Amino acid sequence: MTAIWNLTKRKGAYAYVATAVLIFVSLSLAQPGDRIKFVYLISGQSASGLKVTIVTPDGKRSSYTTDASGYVNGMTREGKLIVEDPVTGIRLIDRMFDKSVTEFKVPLPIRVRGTVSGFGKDPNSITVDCGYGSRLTVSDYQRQMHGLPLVPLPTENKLEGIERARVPSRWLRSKPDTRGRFVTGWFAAVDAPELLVFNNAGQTAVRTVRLPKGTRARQTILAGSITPAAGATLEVSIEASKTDLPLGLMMGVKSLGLRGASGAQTSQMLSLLNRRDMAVGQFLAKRRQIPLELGGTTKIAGLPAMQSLRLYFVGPTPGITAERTVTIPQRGIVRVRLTEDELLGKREPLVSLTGVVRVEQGGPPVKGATVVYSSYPYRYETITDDSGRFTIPRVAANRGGAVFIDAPNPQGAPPFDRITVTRPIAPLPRPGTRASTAEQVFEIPRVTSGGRTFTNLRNLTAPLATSQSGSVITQLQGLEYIFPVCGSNFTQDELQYVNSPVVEAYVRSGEEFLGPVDVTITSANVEQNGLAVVNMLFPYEGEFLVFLQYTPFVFDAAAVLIIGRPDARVIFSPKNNLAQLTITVVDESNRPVVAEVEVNFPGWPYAVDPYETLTNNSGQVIINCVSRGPNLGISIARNQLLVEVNDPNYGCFNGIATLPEFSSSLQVQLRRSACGQ
Amino acid sequence: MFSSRPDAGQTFIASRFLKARVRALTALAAIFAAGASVVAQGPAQKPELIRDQFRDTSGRSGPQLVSLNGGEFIMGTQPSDPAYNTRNVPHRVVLSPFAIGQFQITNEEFAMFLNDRRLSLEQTDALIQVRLTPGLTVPESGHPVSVKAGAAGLPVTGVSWQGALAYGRWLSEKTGHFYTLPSEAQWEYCARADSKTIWPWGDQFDTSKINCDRPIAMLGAEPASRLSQNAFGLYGIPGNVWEWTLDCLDVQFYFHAPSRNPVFLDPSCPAPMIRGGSFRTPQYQCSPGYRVNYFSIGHWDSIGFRVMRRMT
Repeated sequence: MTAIWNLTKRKGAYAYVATAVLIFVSLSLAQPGDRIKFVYLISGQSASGLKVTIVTPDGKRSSYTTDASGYVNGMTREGKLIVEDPVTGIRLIDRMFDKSVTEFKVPLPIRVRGTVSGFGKDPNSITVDCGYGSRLTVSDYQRQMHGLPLVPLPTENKLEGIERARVPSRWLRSKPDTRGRFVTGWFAAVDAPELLVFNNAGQTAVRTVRLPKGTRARQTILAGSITPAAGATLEVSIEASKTDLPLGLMMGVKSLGLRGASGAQTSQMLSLLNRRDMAVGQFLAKRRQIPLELGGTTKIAGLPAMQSLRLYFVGPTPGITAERTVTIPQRGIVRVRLTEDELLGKREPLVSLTGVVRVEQGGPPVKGATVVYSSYPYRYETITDDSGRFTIPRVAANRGGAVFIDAPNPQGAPPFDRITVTRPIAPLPRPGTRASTAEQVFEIPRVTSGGRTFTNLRNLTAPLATSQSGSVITQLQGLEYIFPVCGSNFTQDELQYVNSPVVEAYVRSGEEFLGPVDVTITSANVEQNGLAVVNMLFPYEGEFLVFLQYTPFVFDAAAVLIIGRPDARVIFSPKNNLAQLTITVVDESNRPVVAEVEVNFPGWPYAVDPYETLTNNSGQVIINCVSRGPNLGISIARNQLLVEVNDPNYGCFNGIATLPEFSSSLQVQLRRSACGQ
Repeated sequence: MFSSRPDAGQTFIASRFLKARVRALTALAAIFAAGASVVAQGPAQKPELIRDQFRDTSGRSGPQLVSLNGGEFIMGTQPSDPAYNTRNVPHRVVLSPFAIGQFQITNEEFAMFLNDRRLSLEQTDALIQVRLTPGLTVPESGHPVSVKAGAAGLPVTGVSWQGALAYGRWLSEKTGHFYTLPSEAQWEYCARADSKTIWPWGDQFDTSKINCDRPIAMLGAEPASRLSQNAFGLYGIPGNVWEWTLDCLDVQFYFHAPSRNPVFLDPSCPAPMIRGGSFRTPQYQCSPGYRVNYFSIGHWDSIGFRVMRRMT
């Protein structure tokens, strides 16, 4: 420009013409990058009158205004780009500048107007949420907006085969007036906004507001009249008091029947429920249980219509379970009632539990020991007298329970100058039955800091035992096994939830084994080497497969044929043991994974916690003493180990890993495609 | 949770798989529950700092302690807590006065104990996993143990439960006061620090206040100087590194434990309880109410401890 100015000075009036021409030419020949065009999304119209700001990395700000054609000339091409609409006052773009771009698509500043009806008369109870901006999957929305630590799964956004609609990442909330009219605030639309209308009663409607191509900037879009589309309420009442269920009850969804429902609508509703009520959204997506109000009614409002909703109820004690399948209409109340008998078992008459606490091996009685007898949901606490005796007067008969004793430790040094002993208690006989209610003896082991010494390890007999599937053999103290091949130092403590062997029975039906079935253990005798004699009652005739699980990896199975008499004497002995099993976890390229990939072994009886461990630096898990299982001719029970690995980096494995017959090592290959299956 | 009767279509394999999966879902549900509020009650604590001098002539002293009055508090989690499950629901617990370590025991403090004991390598390895502790160097002879550069103020990790108990016994001998690990109840009382929220500072997880759920690049324990202090004046609780407690696992413990000073004592416990989560665990495991045993979750190199001193 200095050269042009000098030229005008030297050449006089003609030069002015030449200058004008030069200016025109210089502007015409300007690099395309010096002019940047801003165009609205959806309408494709030029975005004029917008305020454009560039903030360079050194903090320098430059501001421009788009001209009538949406252009900005000579814009700085480095830094953060902010585009704002001075009329509506909203920010349309806030991002880093991309030097190569010559045209920016700008979200359209609009707002939505409409009316709501059928949501009640109180406008304060009605919420109109307008979703806009880029769309996220439901799971990502929950991760980003709610900060939930959801483990990524390939199928996490599918529900009963229906792909869940994506959720707008940004929301604007408004309230209707007394006549139901509402106007949202201005927002930057990138596509059709979604309206979610709901009230305090859970009545809900969703509406996608279509934006025609001719939509102008700063236009108010009409959404029309919106009425509730979903709003059924699930009411779950429990006929048991809070006192009777002190540890709570959870409700979860087993399955949803969505047949007949419009896929897109259902999908959209299930997705947007997350916005209205995250807990309900996750509950329906089977990713969350809901705790139930005890001694009252739990209400979950605003459910979308479903052909079936299969619910399960789970208490804190294994075995307490109930299920219900209901149909959810478009509106109205669906009532579910859970009875006390279902949740707590049948009420039984009350009897007394008497016992004496004494030091083992004929030691003295223990005075002042705290004794807690718990038979869920009942709990009683007392203290032993000078003779070590205690009485708990009103205990429900015919229910299994546990005794928890906190006693002075006769030989222990602090902090183990006291010791805790727990022991399962066989169901107490009902009054009037022939069975004895003799005083029970609870022995406090002699424990030093070196560890517990076991006595009377052999031939412990359970005179009466539980009658549930997955039965724990009761009345046994902890056994320190010496299994064949494996050697010593295997204890039942490796089972986390129980300290006695667990029995499970399955009945054959054609080629399948069904169960577990209810069996009664009338007596049991387990020896240190694992030899066990269990007398059992079976509920009906048939061919049964009975498992005895000693420790997480040591078990035996026996086939039992029941014809006529329901009782059988079943003998177990874990013979086919591997002293050590090495499992190498490899990735899809057959390379061992790095350390600390979690490997689960989920196939244990219910009373036993799933066993889990981590790989070492060589991608290996080494387990001591693993039973191959018996030679029954039933392939399902031999050399098969259920393994589960769900690793977001390497992939997944979820199934049976077969132990090679003549090897003590096993390879598990992870595949990404196996995740979420 | 499962029908105990045969059900058409329920095969043996399916049954075993299903059980595991539903259990996993149950766990997930507890994990993903979100929201607020655990109520802690009891008299307001006025933390008093104490430090016991060794009875020998070395002039050394034990770790810095915070003396607490104890009292009544609500142990366990509310349904809105991400660590909630039906086995650790809120229940009233009464605690006698006790003192607890203001900080997690450091490499320097644990090295002092090992060097005082002059143990063999094998003996040392039973107390601290020599190969897995990042902060100490143990020679073939077992001693003297040296602290690695920059690790003196970091919490000692790789300590076994027996090792932590042995440290308590040593402190007891040295000071004449009774030291051991805190019970689960004492630990949770300290972690809640009279708060009425999920986290000691509020209902929202805040990475600036806890060393937990760190990105891989930032994984590691922090020295106390870089950790937040709670209302009782304690540092690094919860979070930073898991902490051993005195209790052995008992799943139904909350239901059948006595309400006064509850603790499950078993000197031969194979899987003691650890609390507090660590730098590498997900957020919910750092919740003051989350309870788990080492057998299930712990990593040796992220388990440490703090001491408890009896006051009565």
